Amino acid sequence: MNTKIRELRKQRKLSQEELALAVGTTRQTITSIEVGKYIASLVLAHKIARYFNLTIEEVFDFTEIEEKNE
Amino acid sequence: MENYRKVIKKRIILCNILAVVSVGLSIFHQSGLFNWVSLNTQNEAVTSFQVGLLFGFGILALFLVYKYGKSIKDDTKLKILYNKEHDERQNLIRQKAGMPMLMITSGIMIFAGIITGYFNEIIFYTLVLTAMIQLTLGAIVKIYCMKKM
Repeated sequence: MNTKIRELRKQRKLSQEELALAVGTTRQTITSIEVGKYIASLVLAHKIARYFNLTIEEVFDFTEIEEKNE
Repeated sequence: MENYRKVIKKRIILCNILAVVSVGLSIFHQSGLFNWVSLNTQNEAVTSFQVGLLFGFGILALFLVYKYGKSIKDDTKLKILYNKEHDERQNLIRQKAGMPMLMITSGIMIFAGIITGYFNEIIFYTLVLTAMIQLTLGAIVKIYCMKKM
């Protein structure tokens, strides 16, 4: 799954470690989500989106999953 | 986070007890006072394994005391430790690797192996080796999942 986390982090000059600490996860999990290896749970996705003051759809790109389901 | 700090304090106390017990038992073992308990005193492998295991537990307990001691003094480190323990990806990896059941069954097998080792050496080797293979496979699956996820 594609996400905008890396871009949003860079805009705010935020490290993975700082974001992980803020949303209650580990740096490794943030890395995995950024590279698309791991799909965050609804709770974590909500926390990340809320941290950036955005909606979940604005941070996470669901088109790939939607295409698969069709 | 205050509740977690209390949990860590309890863990430090438990690890200290484990370290003291391990060192105490190791010394007791080496002194030869354990021989009256042993039914098969010639069995070098069983006694060596026990001493090694106790020594390992002692080292592990001391390492954990050091790790928790460092985390409890610093709020950021404590939060990182909390996040690491409650991380959803880590939990999923642990589940896929068969934890915590794998650890529990392996622990029971090793304990049973030590006890039966006093009576039958073959059962001791079978149980301990099975537990070791089980733990190794769990570790391989864990590493694989960590790379994949």
